[in-house]
Amino acid sequence: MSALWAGVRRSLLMKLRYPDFWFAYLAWPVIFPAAYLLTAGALAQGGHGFAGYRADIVSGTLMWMWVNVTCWSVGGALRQEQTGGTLESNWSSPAARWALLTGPALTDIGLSLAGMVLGALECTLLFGVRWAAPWPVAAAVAVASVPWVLGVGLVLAAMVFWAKDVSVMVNLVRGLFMVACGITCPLAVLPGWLQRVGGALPMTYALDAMRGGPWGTDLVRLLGFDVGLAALGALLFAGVEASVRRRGALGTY
Amino acid sequence: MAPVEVSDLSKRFGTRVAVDHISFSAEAGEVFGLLGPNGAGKSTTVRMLCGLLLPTSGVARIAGHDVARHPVAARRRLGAVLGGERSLYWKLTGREYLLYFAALYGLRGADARRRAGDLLARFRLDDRADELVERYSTGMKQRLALARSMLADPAVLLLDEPTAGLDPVSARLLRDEVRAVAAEGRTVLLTTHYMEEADELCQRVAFVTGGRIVALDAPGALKRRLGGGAVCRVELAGWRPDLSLPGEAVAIGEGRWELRVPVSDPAAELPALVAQAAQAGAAVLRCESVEPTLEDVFVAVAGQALRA
Ligand SMILES: Nc1ncnc2c1ncn2[C@@H]1O[C@H](COP(=O)(O)OP(=O)(O)O)[C@@H](O)[C@H]1O
Ligand SMILES: [Mg+2]
Repeated sequence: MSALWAGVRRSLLMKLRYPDFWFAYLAWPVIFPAAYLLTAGALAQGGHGFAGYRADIVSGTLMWMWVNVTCWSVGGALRQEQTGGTLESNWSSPAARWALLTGPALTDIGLSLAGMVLGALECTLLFGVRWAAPWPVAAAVAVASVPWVLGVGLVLAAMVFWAKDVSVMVNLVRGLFMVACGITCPLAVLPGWLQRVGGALPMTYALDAMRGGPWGTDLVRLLGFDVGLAALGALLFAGVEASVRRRGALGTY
Repeated sequence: MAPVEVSDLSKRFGTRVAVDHISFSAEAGEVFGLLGPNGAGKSTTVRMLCGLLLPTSGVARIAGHDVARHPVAARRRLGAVLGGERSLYWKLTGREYLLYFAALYGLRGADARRRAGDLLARFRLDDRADELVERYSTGMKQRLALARSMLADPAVLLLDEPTAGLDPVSARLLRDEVRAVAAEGRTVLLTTHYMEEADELCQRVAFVTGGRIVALDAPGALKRRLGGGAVCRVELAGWRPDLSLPGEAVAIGEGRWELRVPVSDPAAELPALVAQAAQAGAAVLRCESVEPTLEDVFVAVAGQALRA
């Protein structure tokens, strides 16, 4: 019996010391239901019709799943190599740092993108979902989304070197994309302040184009995010790399 | 200019001084050893030589390239094994692993395949080359890491504790490989806290402790510093600093010390030493006189044992 309590106590103590425990504890229980509440709100307002919402929800969910995986692709690979011990052998080679960083991440991004395309096909076949955007638009949106996702990934990866444990930041980004970009509802249903947050996030425009919005302007906006976020990520990372070489944070320190 | 040139190199982490104004150079064809206990600053020095760490002050040069200023040029002439078997991808085969790194060193296609094949054969991995690394023994993993460091045909090899965790036989085989690599005219800089390894393998050894080099010479010359005679080792129980016995006392276990005293005439001095210890009130458990080892010199120079 005392071993049972010791186990409870130990795991509680350890959990409380992980920052992402608090996020999971306090934030996700709001974020997750919020997404469904917004869906319910959107459906109650009608307007768009049942078939329309089905496509909206599938495209939103798939897109979010993709971002969910890929926003952590660069940082996750980096962290894994850091704790696994392979990072230093890579970085002591003459290869360019950005290549070492983005190479493995592109695998993740590509693989999960293919997975989402497969998911979309399956939804079409199984549930008869009919898509608003023609497939060339969908493909263009997917391609135009790779650089900004990579940029977000680089920003989060740069944080790996500031604070080893960046899971809170990663979850924050995931949560933000989940509620603010209208993954399961039109943006118009969101409260005003959330709409403004959503307006500042690239996924909002990716979804808008997928859902038959004005894809021309959406794509231009996406390209803007591509340039901006990729540049921000690259810049942050370059700065952090220099500080890492000073502090010796490449290894497990 | 020597392939490895270190001048006045220092590294501070916050207030902790890890490397404290060290200077040395290592020649082509030489195996140069940094010997010191854990925490002495050996790995920090190696990381600065790879450009993974920026020095607080001083300069490290690889094949004439200042590593901090021109890291890419320096890394092209450099192979490094840091962290031993942890530096491998366990879910790749040995060959895939080498081909991956070959690409990082700019080798492609048939060139890369030939180079990987040659190295696999040279380091006796060819019959297991297409097996996953996770199935390799520690010795094979260490040889694969060494093979990787040789991909670019480097002028300089940096090996951080290359035999750590190896059984004695694998360690000896690896030392043979290291010797052969240097015999090709490469410079090998290795760190170790095994004095036998430094003694057997290195043309020159730098004793490192507290981030500083306290002695630097050929192992034979270092040993001759002790006066050419022998070392008396007297195992004692109940040693205290205020007993004012000669030599250095090294703690070797619970309540036991080994007194190490360099002497020129062991036949006369060992009995006298035993008598002196007994008189001072320490119990003599064992005594012998031996040829001085590198560790005896280290203890005499650094006032500290290697495996503290
Ligand atoms: N990145 C780092 N940050 C802070 N302290 C470090 C870092 N790397 C090494 N040190 C400290 O510097 C000293 C020397 O370490 P190291 O070079 O690893 O020694 P050795 O390889 O000789 O065992 C140790 O006290 C170690 O704790
Ligand atoms: Mg070390």
